[in-house]
Amino acid sequence: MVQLVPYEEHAREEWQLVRLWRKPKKHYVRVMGWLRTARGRRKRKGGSIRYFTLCGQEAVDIRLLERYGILVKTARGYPDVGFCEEDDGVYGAIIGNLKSVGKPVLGKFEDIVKRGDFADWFQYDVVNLDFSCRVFRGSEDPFSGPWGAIRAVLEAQAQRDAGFDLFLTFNASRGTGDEASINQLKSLLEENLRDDRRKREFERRAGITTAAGLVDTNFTQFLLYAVPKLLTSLAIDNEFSVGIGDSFYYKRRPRNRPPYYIVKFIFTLERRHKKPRRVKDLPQAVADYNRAAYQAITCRKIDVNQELRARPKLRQGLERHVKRLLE
Amino acid sequence: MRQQELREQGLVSKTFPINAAAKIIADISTGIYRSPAAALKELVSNSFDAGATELTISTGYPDFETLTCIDDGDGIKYDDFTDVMQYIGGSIKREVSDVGRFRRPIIGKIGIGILALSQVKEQFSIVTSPRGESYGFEAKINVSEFKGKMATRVHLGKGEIGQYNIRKFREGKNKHYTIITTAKMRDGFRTILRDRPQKKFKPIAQSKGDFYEFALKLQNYGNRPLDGYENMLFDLATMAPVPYLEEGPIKGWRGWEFMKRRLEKYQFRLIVDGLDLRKPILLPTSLDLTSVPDDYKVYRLSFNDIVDGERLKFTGYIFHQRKQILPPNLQGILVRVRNVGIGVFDKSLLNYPIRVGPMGGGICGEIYVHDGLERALNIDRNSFRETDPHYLEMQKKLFDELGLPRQEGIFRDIRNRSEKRLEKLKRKEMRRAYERLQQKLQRLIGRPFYITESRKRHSQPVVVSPRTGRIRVFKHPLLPDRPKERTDMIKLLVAFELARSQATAVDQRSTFYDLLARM
Repeated sequence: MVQLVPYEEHAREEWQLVRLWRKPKKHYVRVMGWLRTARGRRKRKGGSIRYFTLCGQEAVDIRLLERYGILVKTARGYPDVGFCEEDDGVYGAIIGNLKSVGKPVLGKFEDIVKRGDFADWFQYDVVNLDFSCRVFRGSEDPFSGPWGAIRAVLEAQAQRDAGFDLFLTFNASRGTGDEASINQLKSLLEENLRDDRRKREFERRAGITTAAGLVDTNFTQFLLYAVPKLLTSLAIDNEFSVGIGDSFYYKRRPRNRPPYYIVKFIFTLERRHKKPRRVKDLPQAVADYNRAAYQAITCRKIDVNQELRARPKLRQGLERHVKRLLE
Repeated sequence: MRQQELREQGLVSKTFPINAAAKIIADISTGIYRSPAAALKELVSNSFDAGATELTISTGYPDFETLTCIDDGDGIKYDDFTDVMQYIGGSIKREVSDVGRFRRPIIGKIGIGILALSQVKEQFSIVTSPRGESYGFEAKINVSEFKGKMATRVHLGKGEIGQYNIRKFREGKNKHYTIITTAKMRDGFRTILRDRPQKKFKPIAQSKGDFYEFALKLQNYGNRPLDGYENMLFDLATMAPVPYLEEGPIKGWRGWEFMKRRLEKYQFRLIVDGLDLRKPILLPTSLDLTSVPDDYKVYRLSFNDIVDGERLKFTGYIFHQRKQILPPNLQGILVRVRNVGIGVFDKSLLNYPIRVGPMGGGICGEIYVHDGLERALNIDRNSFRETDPHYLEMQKKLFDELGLPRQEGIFRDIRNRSEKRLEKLKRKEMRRAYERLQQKLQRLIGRPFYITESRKRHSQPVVVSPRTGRIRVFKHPLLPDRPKERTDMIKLLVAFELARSQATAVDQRSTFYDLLARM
């Protein structure tokens, strides 16, 4: 029996034809954000790093890190790299480009993390979760979608006695049905703003006094403040102290669809307790939390569009750089 | 009227359609391929035929969850794909041309090769974009329902052996590729690949070297059995139409350059889990085997004639070395049809009727069939129908070359070489023993002695001339063959002859025992 789907626009076509992963905006974040952070991790570790990614078809991030000596490439490929891809064709294309990878996984990452053996193999120094989906998935439970996966990652990584860097990417669109989760996130941010110092900084930077106000006026900015707070809470629950790096955002203008923003975050997580938590460790835990909560407000939020508009040579340089990486 | 009468009497023949039970087709898809390598070979053949310059296979080592094959070949056209899937057994490949890109001989005869994937997993997807077209399509294929008893009564052409969904998408016109993915390989397939009979050894696959290092390591394994994954890599590299290693198949032998060049010209790379596969044939397989023909020898064979109305043409070589060839996977004869190995090296030497004993462990041969023999291929393309005239002719030619009892042939030559080599070794050992004896006699007697061996018979085994210092050793039944015993006997006789030159019996006796003690 043949079930034919008529020749139609397919979501995959756009980014495949346009090759969005080659665009300078995305590459800016790779170079200015991911590469710098991964370099720091490599230096601290004193050796090559293990890297997990939800990369695109041409695996530009992997090639970039390898080109700068952060990832090892042998005659046989990338033994310290793992990736996950849901689409069969894209999965195959990635394998075709990289030849061999330490841990290739086919499937939806949110389902992969639910497998019993996930914590056994998920042990990485840098984890890059480019979800490119909305922060929430229209469910009342904010942990049903990508956040469930993030939590599973934190739990798995907590079994290592070492820190790691985490890169997150989301589509900053607000979907119908997300409201319950957004409200929870809003509450989390408002809780963060109960501290006067943090509130002052928030008002100065966001130009608004309440989280609720930001949700309605600038949802992208709201996410830039709220997501780090959410991540911090999850990380601290798993005995990590959190350092919040620069956040990035840029606009995308797809054909035949309304424009939307992409938001990207960088976190550095270090293990707080080598032994089970003790009462006398609590003040340190509180201090870590307060520091991270403050950073969530004060970390740089870089408008990539603006950066590239102001520096056209940088844009050209990034375009050339991507091309060279893919040669 | 007459016809009607005959019909009523049952004397007119009727024509019925032949309905092959679709279970035959189910067998193809569920398990006639004997090994993972044999199943993967079909995918390799498809890519080769599609003009791919590179086929990358990822097995998901070491978990073997997902198998992926990606090639840059011509892709599959939508209409062709639906035709092949509708009418299993038909093929577009040979109908168009017998020779493909890079002048590669087209391998595939029937388009069901793709169903070899079903042995890996009942559900798989194909994403492809044909050359010169601005579309691609993704097909998800499912044959899981079609197995066992359900298949026994379905008529071919009317029933289904599975289902597939197709979705088209837009693609750049300059893109051409095929990507095949199966998620979660069958347990049986995985079990074979994960099999590790010698768990204490670190798997070769974990090493970071290239395929040349892999092939060398396997040689150094000795008789250790390869694990499932190593076997798959080795067998696939053996069977696939990939080039030889630079030094292969036989170091220093230029008699196979034409074949090596031909394979290089096909420009086909097969990369499995990052390993760029080459034919893993590097002979001789021991570093101490350096001398031709003492240590090894290559025998050529060829045939070109009409057999049973069709041309049969093949060329090949048979290599023999005096030590066992390692790994054992290389022992035997491999037949290649259109550059693809049919099965693996056959230790039985195509059912050679005589026991060859240890000699068989030193034999490795390849036969490339350029014309003919294809009709003898079984449907799995990994074995032959042994009653086919072409197969029988090839077998006969091979047996003639190997030699049957009381006939000249390779095995007789191997025995002759072995005897000559042993003879040489014996002579060498004796030469060394004589030199040692000469030196000892010079020290004892105080003058030089020179020992020579003669092939002539003499009444005495040893003749010593004390005046000239010359000692001649003749052919004599008293002298053993084995060098050590022979040397001891010669010492005894030399001592006797030298002692005889003394004047008195007492002196003779004391000289004799003295020389014996000191020699």
